[in-house]
Amino acid sequence: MIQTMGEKTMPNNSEAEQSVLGALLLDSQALYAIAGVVKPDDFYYEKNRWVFETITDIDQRGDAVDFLSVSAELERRGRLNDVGGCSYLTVLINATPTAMHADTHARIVADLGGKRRIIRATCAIAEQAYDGTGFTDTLSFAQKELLKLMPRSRMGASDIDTLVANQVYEYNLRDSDPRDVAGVATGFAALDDNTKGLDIGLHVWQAESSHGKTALALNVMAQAARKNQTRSGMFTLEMTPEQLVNRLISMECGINTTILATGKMNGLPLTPDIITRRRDAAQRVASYGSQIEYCGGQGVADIRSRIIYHKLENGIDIAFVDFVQLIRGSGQSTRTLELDAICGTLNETANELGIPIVATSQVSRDKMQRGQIPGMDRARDSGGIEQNAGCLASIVYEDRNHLFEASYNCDRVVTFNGLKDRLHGLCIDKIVGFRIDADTSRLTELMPTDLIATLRARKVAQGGR
Amino acid sequence: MKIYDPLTGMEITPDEFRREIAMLRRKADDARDERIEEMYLQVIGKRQQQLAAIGTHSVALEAS
Repeated sequence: MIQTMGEKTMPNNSEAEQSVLGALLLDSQALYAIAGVVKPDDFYYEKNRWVFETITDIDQRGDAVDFLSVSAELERRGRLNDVGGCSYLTVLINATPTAMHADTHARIVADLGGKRRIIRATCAIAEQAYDGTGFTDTLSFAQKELLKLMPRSRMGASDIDTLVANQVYEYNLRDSDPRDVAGVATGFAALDDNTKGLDIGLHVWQAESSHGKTALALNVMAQAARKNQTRSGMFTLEMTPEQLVNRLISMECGINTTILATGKMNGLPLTPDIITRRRDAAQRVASYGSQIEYCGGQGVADIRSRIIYHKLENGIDIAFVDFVQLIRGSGQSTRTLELDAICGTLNETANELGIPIVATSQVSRDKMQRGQIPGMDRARDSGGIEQNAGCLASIVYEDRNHLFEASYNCDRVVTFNGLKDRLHGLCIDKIVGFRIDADTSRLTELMPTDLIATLRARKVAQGGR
Repeated sequence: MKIYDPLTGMEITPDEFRREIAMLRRKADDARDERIEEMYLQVIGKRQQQLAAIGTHSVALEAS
């Protein structure tokens, strides 16, 4: 069956397909070299697809793969004559320049199969664009169709064989990774130990206003870039990218954000030393390889589009959305239902792209009770936030004034309190403490003894002993 | 003389031919049927000719 697109034949390479099959007939061990590279529908010619499926089926049931077993199985399936008889298997063997290049030839076949899928997807998108479907729905359809084409897209995989192969691939990656994480490492040791890395899905970090949501997101972005070369995408609805970059540079050089922003210290021009520190810090921030985009006033469909764009164009490993209550709704339902839909879309986007999305969230002010951990019920405007989040954590400003001398307590301390972890099923009662530098908002993890003292202080503040 | 993979343009090195011949020889030795053994021997013969054309006689080739 020849597949055409108008006047043109769809991309294919008969010799590469025959070479892959010939290599498998010579040495079925080559199947392991090409596992996960090529799949049956990558073969353009139907008869080659049948031979490939026959070979993989014989191997999976543990029988020897050779031209006798393959021709017998094709005969049993009533396909031997259709492929051209036993002589076609001999053609395949003779078409192989060397079985040693089977993996490279398989990649040629897979690439061309991928190109054909791109052509089919774009035709389907064009068809939808021509009919009466609205722009937003057509864009959403186009995004989903294109996402299915990504090599490790979760949307394309449904059969258990493929899913297991993908999982084994992940295991192999983790086996060779010295870090004790299963997701994107934050670079903060205790946080990574608590979360085992930020896994694919929606993570919600909630806090009261001005209690460190943005600071934690920026610090994770910076620390993950410094330690693991992780590329982040920050989609900010509150602060401008310039303000965030100023905070990042401030965190890097240890100089107050206001001094950096005004270019004056105590009303005087900056010293050469401070200018040098600022310049070096700016260079380090520039090397993060991250993206920061202002999304103020945008709806979730626009933000989803921007996350997808930065994933495909810049390869971001993780996305931050700061903060979720500022995402514009449709105005056609209650805010609670809108936030349900917004978080549902963010969760879907994370799963489709195969990345974690961290959405910061503000807890309701009317129930604000300093010193108490905001529970799942305090997410402002929505129980759907908690429902859609794979992981939910509360960031709490710890009031320790009654515990320490005033001189000691110059820095703020916040804690990261896990409330829910559907992604790993891990113990969620672990708490991670951070000290926030008052000038720069740079976070450093608390020593265990300091964390224990902080938790004691919290208990005292809550009326315990 | 060099032999190139017509699909990729990459050189097929003498070492790759030697490894393939060794692999095919093991397959031929373990073959469960004379027809399969014959098929492997034919491919081995073809690869040996290619290796000889490169002008690098290998230990594996001489041993055969």
